[in-house]
Amino acid sequence: MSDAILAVPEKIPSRAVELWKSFARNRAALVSSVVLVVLVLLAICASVVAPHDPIEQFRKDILLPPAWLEGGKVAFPLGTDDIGRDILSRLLHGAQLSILIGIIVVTISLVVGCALGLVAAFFGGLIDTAIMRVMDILLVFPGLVLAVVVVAVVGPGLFNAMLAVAIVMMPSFTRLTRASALRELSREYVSASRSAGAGRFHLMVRTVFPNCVAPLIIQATLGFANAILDAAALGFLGLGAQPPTPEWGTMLSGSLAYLQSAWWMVTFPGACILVTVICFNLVGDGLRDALDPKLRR
Amino acid sequence: MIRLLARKAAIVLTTLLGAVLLAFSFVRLIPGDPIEVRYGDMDLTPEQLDAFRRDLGLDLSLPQQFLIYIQHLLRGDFGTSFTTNRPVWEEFITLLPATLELTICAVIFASIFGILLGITAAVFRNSWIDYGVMSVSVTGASMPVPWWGMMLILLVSVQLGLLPVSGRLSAAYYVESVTGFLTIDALLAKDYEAFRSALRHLVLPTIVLGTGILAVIARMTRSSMLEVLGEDYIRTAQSKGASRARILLVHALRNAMIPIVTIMGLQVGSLVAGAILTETVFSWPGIGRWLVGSVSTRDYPVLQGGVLLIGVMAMLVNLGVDVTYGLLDPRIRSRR
Repeated sequence: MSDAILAVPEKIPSRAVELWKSFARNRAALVSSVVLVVLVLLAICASVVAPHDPIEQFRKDILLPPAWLEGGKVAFPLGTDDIGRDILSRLLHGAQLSILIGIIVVTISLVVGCALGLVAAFFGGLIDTAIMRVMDILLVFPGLVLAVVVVAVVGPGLFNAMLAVAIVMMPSFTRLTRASALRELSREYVSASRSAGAGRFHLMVRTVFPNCVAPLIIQATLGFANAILDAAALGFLGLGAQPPTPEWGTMLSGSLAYLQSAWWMVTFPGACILVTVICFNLVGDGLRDALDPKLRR
Repeated sequence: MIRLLARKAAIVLTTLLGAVLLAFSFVRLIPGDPIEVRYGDMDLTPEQLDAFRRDLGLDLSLPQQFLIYIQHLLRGDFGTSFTTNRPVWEEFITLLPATLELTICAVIFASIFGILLGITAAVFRNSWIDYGVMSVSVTGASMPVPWWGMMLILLVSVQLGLLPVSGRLSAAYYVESVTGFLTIDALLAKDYEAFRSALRHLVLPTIVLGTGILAVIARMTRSSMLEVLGEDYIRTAQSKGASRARILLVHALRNAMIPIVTIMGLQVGSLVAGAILTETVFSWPGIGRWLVGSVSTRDYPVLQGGVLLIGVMAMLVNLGVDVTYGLLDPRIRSRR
């Protein structure tokens, strides 16, 4: 892989190529991104690929083991659950949900968190103190506890769980944006832009923000991993997606009672969560190494 | 050091006030009337319901309610549980030892193995041992806690029959509660069979709760050891003929400890989150399960008081970490 890229030395590589090269050097990150691409494709095509409807109940085929075990059926490759739903189909549709959870949670917390961080950095004084104090207070409460409280206020459900996780994740984006914006504000190019007559909004969004993006991209990738884990945790506690939604965490919670009799109900949803979260974490690490050479060891 | 403490205390106090305000306001944001929730099925007249409202001060204005709430808090009154009619503080303090016992064991487990794994990885840098440790670390940090617990139960308890599935103690034993820590209470009562049972019940939850922090500690130890091992004073120690073990454990680890302690402080939040999930999987009678239970029973006083108490506890631990940090590195004290 890297040989092919190194074989064309006549052109000076662009920044994107540089980034890609240093990202691709990290084999774990590369493999993880391939796995994630496959996962996203499977999630998009879930209704085509899945053998059955995720909430259809096959009353004659309750608690069937996976196909390769005695008593299993080829029609249900990973077995069925306690009311005869196909586990593979539920997992595939669950992938859809998990990706969606990641996208929505990260988008909400990123947009709101960045906006607050930029405002805090630019306006300073009382506004800065107020915003950062609120973030400090949010940070006092352990993430899941805060999420449980938010769910208690707005009621259980998938969307509310996403909202809760987004609120929990917001302070880290706000702090990160504020810190990088403050660092950039002292640079000369900002003063130059300001003396050239750039307005405050222009300075904020067009001049400073693009230079704060690198750490945010890393944090957002790692945020995907946390969003999926936290939403699954809420689902497990019965506060997230409600049955029969095929969310991975909710599937885990339903399987606790069948721990001794139907191991496949427990094993597969959890394994899906684990693999997805590992991949996002490894890609995040790879991006950190590629985007932030200072942190590279 | 005293000035550092005073500054910290000022910040802690404002944050505390904010936390109280938050705990106060979120219960009032919950749709529906708490009085209806509590007495709705008792077939009372509107006048009787109003009387209850007056008793709880719910007919006053919000600022008045807030002042009364703070007055109650200062007296140590966190409200009364709707479901058990016992003071929230009393429930909290009876359940806290179970959670503390579990959490302390998990932190000890994670620190010992995390630091050992981290040092090993740093010493054998870029070998298969290093890659192995780092893979374990990534996996541990990505582990969904409930699933990890269920997998261990499935393997260790169900398949191999080695350890109990849930709870803190076999029903066959009874231990007089002195400290609330069952292991210590059993030892105090000289009931060694009960002690064994309590220990056996602790093993799996400890591993499940400790894995996440273990992963973070191992990673942090590795990178800060690598940094420290390149320093001049390590070479000086080597040339003076200090043994390898002494260099690693005395010279290097001491300085590598600062980032490790910090990261432990930052993990308090994930520890509490992990405790909620671990307690749910193992039916461990602690504050995590209590808090989650209060959501489904709509026990608002428990939710409000519990969240506040957990927040305050997390804050105190962080303060403790900050102070330890100052003790470990004298430069930090004078810098500010």
